[in-house]
Amino acid sequence: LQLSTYSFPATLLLCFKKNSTALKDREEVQKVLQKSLDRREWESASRLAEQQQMEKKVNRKVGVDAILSKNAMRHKKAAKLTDAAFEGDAETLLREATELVKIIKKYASTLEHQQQTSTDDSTNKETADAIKLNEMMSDMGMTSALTKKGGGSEYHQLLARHLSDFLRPRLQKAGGVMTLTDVYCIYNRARGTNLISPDDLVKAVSSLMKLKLGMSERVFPSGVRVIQEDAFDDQQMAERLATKATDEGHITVLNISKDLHIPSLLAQEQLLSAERMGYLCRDTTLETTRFFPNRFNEFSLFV
Amino acid sequence: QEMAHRRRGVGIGRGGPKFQKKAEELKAVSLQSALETVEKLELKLTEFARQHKAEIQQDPAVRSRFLQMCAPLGVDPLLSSKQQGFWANLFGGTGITDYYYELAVKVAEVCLAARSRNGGIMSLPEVQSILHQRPTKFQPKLLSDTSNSSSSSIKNSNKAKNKNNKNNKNRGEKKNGVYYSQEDIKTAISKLSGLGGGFRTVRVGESIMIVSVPTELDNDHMEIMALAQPKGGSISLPQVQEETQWDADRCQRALDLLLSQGMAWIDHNHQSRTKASSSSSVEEEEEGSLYWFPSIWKEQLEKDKGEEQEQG
Repeated sequence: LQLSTYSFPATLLLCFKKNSTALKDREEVQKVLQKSLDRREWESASRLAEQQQMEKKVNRKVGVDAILSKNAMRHKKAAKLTDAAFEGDAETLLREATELVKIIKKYASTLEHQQQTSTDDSTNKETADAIKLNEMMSDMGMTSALTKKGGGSEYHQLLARHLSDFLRPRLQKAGGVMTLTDVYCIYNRARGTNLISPDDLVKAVSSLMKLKLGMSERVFPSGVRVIQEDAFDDQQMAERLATKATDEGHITVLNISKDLHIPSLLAQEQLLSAERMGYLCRDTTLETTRFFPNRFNEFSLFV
Repeated sequence: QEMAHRRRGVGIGRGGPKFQKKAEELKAVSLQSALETVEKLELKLTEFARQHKAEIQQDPAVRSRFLQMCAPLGVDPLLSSKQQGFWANLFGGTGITDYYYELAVKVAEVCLAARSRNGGIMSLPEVQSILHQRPTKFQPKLLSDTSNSSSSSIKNSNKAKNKNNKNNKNRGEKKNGVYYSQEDIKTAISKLSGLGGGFRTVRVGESIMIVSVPTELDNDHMEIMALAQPKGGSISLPQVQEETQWDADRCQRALDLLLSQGMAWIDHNHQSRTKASSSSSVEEEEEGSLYWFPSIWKEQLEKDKGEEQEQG
């Protein structure tokens, strides 16, 4: 870089020696200068001093609050200092990486399109490469239709087996059904380290049925996801609830949750499911929703 | 004739045998370049992460910026916990992923525990402060390897407050717990949403609420709760009508849903108390019962406490 500078009042003149890289150099210098101007690094020292002044005034809290606010302040301070260097690199990375990602996505979509339309004219090498691409992409955390199809990679299938072994006794004790959130929590708590991600759990759970492990995932219309023992029978549960409703006059989410020792979210789903099957009728009031045994069938006999 | 073939698309391979072969060649080439491009991307990410590894591990603000940056690229470091995976190798083990997955577990537990009280909605600062007060049983190995020795000393010396200074090398750690930033909590929630429990964040007025039930809440509900914010967490039907200018039905419907979900509690006694104090009975009837929102009320309580401490 061959450069000479001349300063006039209010102006700085940069002269680049006329050689092969002059134009590129000029652009680079412009970029770097602009960045420095944006960051105003010459001000950072004074800004730091200002902040310290402010902190001295505000430091009145005691106990846990003091530690919390000190931590928060420290984080903020450090963030401001490292921000500059980090942001610069982040910008560059973002720019370059976006281009690459665009290319990857394009190839992934053509591949997926080909997979859909081709029959058996793909050679072994191609499918091996496709699988490799799939693996590399999901390794980095990129999801596309390509990676989503591979819901049962080896890792996830193994996880499914571990999960089912772990859950079997607990599921039984809980009455045969557990919400996915509960499963996530107790499994990770038991695991201690090398925890699994929620996405891992979802992928593993989706292959439970295929692997015939005695339990499978079920999604209720409300969006609630549970793991249910294969032995669990919706019909049976509905009949049980209907009997309870007849015996006690009416039942609610709260008292079912208490009597059957299941979380209220599940109790609600079971009651709604029984209602859908026609065993129960609901009566919604301001206080709560009560479920009564469905006696409309009896009434129709009297017509 | 040739043009017609080309228009049908060489990639689909439906052309004649000549084009079939060409199609396969092209497929192979594009697959190859796709693999190469992915490797290039890996290299770039690796370089970046290596340079800023320490910052990312220790500073929640930098960490959240990093995750934010990965999002538009479609890259998610927290998607999977594979041990030999790309991200695990980069950050030297499962430190970062463990941190977020454990936080997710804790957030789920906190929300579940409070559900009977607030119906499944609570403010982000409230969740944060509950998390900070909980003792942790296991220390996440988020930070550099030196933390391994200090974390075991934390377990043994929970009573000795002085050991804090040794451990404060790792910025976030305190005696009984780890510091979680609001961005960290938000990231954890976004991961939990995939489990079907309805976990999400919503904006109510000037604050952020965490919802942990699958109930659908629309803007009407949010607005009513926002109106209760300056009033200390409670509001009456006439007040809602006055401030929103909606008809009575619409207000009542929204309030009823919040009530049925347990997100609002109704206070009938408010009416009878004012009856006793004033003589004119017409006024009290218009006043109506009061609807309390535990989540808003709690939040205002924390805020007031914080302000008190600053003044006093």
